[in-house]
Amino acid sequence: MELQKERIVEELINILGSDRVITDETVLKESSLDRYRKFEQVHEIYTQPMPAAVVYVESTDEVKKVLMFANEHGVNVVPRTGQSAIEGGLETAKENSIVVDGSGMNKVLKIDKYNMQVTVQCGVPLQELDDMLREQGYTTGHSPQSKPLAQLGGLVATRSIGQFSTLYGGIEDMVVGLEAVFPNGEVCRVKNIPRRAAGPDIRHVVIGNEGALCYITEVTIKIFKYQPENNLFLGYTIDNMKNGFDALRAVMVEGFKPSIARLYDAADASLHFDWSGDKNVLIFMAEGPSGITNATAKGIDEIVKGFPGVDTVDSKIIEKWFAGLNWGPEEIAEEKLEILATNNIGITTEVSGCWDCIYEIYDNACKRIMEEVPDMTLMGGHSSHSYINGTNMYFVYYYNVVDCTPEEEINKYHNQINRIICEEVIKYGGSIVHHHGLGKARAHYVWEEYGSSFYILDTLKKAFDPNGIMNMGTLIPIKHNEKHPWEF
Amino acid sequence: MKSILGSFKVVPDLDLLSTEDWEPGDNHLVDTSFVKSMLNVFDESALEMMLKLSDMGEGLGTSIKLNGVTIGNKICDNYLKTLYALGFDRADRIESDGDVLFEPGKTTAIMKDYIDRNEMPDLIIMGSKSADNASGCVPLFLAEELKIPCVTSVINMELLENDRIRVTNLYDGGTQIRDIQGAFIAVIGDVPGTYLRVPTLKDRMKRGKKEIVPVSITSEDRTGAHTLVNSYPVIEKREGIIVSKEDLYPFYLKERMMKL
Ligand SMILES: Cc1cc2nc3c(=O)[nH]c(=O)nc-3n(C[C@H](O)[C@H](O)[C@H](O)COP(=O)(O)OP(=O)(O)OC[C@H]3O[C@@H](n4cnc5c(N)ncnc54)[C@H](O)[C@@H]3O)c2cc1C
Repeated sequence: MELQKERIVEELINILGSDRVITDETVLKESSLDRYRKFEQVHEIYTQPMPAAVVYVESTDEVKKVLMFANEHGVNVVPRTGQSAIEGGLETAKENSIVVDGSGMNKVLKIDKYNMQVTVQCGVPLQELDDMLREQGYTTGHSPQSKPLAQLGGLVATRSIGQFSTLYGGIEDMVVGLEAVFPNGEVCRVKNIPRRAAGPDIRHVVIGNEGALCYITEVTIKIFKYQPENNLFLGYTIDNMKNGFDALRAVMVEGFKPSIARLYDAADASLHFDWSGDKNVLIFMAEGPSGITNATAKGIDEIVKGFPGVDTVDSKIIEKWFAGLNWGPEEIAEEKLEILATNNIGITTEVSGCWDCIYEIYDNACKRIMEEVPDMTLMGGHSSHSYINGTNMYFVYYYNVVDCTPEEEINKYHNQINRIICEEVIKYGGSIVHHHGLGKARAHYVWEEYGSSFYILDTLKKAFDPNGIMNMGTLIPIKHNEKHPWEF
Repeated sequence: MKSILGSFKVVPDLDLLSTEDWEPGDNHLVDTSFVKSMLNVFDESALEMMLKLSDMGEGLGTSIKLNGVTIGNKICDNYLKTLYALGFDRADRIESDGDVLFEPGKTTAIMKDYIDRNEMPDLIIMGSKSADNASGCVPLFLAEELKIPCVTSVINMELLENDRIRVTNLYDGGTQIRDIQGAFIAVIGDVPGTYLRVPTLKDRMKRGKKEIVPVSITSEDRTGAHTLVNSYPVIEKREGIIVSKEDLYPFYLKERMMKL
């Protein structure tokens, strides 16, 4: 029998004390969704099932007790830290869920400069950690645009990636060890080592689990020397987007490791620059010891200038622009006012593909969206994370919400755009999610995304979360509309 | 009401400057050349207010011609195209022959000239000041040149029947609502949360592709430019009397202190 809300709250108060169990209605409403439902969020319309409580945990032991209680009684748990999720990962898909907030677990436990690693609790804000390290001449190398918002637990749980990824990698390349709590109360520590070949890499069961398998309480990530004095920036306009992808590919294939390698299409560039006009923009940054940065910048410059239709942009413009790219609470508040005033909303969807199809994915998706979705005001995107075999595409799109209520917006616009993007990506064999996580929205495409390997994901979920209490609906949907998968 | 003219300015987005960027360079100016531009906030409210008046006009069966104008360089063209896409009938850029920054007199003269060359609008809407210049003088100077009234700190306007406009403005710590008939300049004050609506891509394809041919107004063309008559500072002292320290207590404070 399902527990009543009152019983759940009572038990949670027994475990944590009343001051850390929040049942205030406004808090519960705001905790029932994330930025996937941005239009509902700014209108303060809440369509998702209400959680029973938001609880603030302060230790691994408390996480363990809360999870064991939830597991025993089949109560859904939604882990959270920085609350910057944008794919529905924080939606409480079941009535009377417990939102377990780890932002109070915010201690930096050890900075190990000799072994170049830092151990932190899940609620440590990335911005604070990196600022502190930089003061001492080090950096995490992790710099997602949400750096001022996100915390380490969420960053690991979503397989996040930062803007310097081409040099430092994604979070999966940075995590050397961690601690996680499973629904049955098992606390597992994966030790910090440079590499091992002792069976499968079990870190990857935890990294990217999106709160659907376990609760991450502690992580150890690599640190790097911070040498901003050697940074070099390069910027170009390029006439043709296909050539832009080819230029990115050439830089990667020739073996260069810039920290930033980006290609903006003209529409997306117009949001950032006055000077780009109808041109696409290529941006690079070289980081590290000066010998490397000079050689990297010189090599990239030669490669890019070998492509037709390329013009050089003053590197100072690029350097200054880049410094102001991150988003914090102020930008979020400003965005809310703007959406309310104009009914115009901007959203992003990030995917990836190999070099041989990324242009087609980009081009077809943009064309189809402009043809099939009404009221579009901007459709474009950029590639911001490149690899030897391919790159990502970060679609950026804006539309006016016309003739529909905040509740109807998601199915009329956002889900339709996502559907088109996912269809095009699947058609070409790319991945429908590059770094934001599957969340609850794109989870409806999990079968197409995984193909025959869905068996592995499904088995992991059943093995680690047999009672189905961990962030249900994330990774694998609870209900699935076969005929209209994008209506939910 | 047949036509509204709105003047606007494109300014650097100063929020994008870091603390170090605010250090002035050798020319004593802060370098803003690398930051993205934006519509001056007051002007953005003004342009949106023009569109709202035009919507109201439609409701009353009147079609109002909207004309936007700016003084500036090529960067402004995108903003002008946006105005076309939003349904403005005309959007002009006046290529200025020199820098009009910190020269409200020159700006006024150029605007006056522009109006003289075209037809006098029934209403002129302007933002109260620009982010980079912030003199706040241009609308007042222009009203003087055109010899029409000027209402400052406007926060709302409604179109009424018989070409009257109901204007709400901030006044002496309160708000004032008046119905105005006849040409005037409305100076838009701080209207938080107003943003210019966004045209769809289809609107841009349909209406926003017009090429912007800059209007050239040179210094010689300028009529009525303000000339400097003297360089003495205007001293605006408060009315009062000077009291010596000997007189202060016996004649001014003593009686008051007795009452305490
Ligand atoms: C403006 C903006 C820019 C962004 N830019 C980037 C970017 O550049 N790169 C990028 O990768 N992402 C980006 N994101 C997405 C988001 O910031 C990342 O997904 C981030 O990793 C989330 O971290 P968080 O601490 O905010 O997690 P939350 O939002 O709190 O949670 C995110 C997900 O992780 C789960 N989770 C959280 N904590 C734990 C835990 N301790 N244990 C288990 N599961 C947990 C939650 O259940 C949820 O599913 C951006 C978001 C915004 C709003």
